[in-house]
Amino acid sequence: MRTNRSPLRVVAAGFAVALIAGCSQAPGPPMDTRKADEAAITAAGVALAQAAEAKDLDTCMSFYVDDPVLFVPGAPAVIGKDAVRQAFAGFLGVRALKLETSGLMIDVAQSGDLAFERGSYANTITDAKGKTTTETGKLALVWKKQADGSWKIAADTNASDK
Amino acid sequence: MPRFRSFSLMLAATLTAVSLGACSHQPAALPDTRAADAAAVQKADADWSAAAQSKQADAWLAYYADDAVVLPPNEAMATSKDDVRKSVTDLLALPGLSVSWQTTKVEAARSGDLAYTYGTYELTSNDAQGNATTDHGKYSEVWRKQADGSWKCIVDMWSSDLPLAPAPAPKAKHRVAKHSRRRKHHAN
Repeated sequence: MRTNRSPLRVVAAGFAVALIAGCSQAPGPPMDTRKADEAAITAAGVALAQAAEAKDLDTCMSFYVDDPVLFVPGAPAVIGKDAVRQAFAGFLGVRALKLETSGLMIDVAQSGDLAFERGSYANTITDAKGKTTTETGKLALVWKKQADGSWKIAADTNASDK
Repeated sequence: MPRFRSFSLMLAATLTAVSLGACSHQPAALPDTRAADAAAVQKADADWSAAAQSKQADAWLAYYADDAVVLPPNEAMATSKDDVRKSVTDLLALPGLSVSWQTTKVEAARSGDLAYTYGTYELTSNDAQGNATTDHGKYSEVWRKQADGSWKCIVDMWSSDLPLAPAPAPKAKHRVAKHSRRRKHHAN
């Protein structure tokens, strides 16, 4: 059997291989980062609750975008970072605060730029007189990935159960 | 212009050009549909508010995905289809009901699979004496694009702007109405 060793064919074959290899290594569609995003959002939520229990307002606010909205029952929408900070300061201005959540579910967009979390909360508040009450309700959060890869809350919306 | 010494080299140069061209076009970014998606969600939200005027549960429920959850004020989260239907049916059964809402903000993910809206609502219903009382508040919704390209709501939450004690949210108002009726019976 005659082997074809024509330089032309060798070069052509070589480039065919290079073409396939080169293209297969080219960046395909963006990587699916949803699992990692979900874990990052969960961790951010835990850190936010810890900061609130520690009454660390600055750290709490670091988990919000620059133009957040906060919806709480029984009050008009709180719009903008200064207004949200003020509302948060009021929330933290109690003797003690214990924040618990349950049944949290997170949906991350395939593109990893937006995510939504919802679930239930139980806020146990001890007021200045030492009286302790627990408010239960539902939360729905809009999270946005920032340029540095961190996740921040764009909309923090709540509805109490009673 | 370089002169190719052989046909092989010329072919190689051509193939290189072709392969570079092909590869640079290979990872074609998905088209950016965010503006169109946001417009579609805003329209769906407006259509939903218009459909709510019928006060028919089915017309309302058509805007929810099968796995939608409803997070209304003053009652537990509705996660099953039956609970969602019941929550909506109860709301629509408020006497003298009129409810509508307007989108304030809508934003879609780059991947076009998820979006959210929030806005304000106004709800009027009659108290036990038949007097119209008005509630207003804010809502937030998460939407997911369906296989057919339409958008359906998967998370629906709202809460009243009004302080809880003097003017409770819709559901509580319903209970207050019942209480007032009972008090009226006592008076009789």
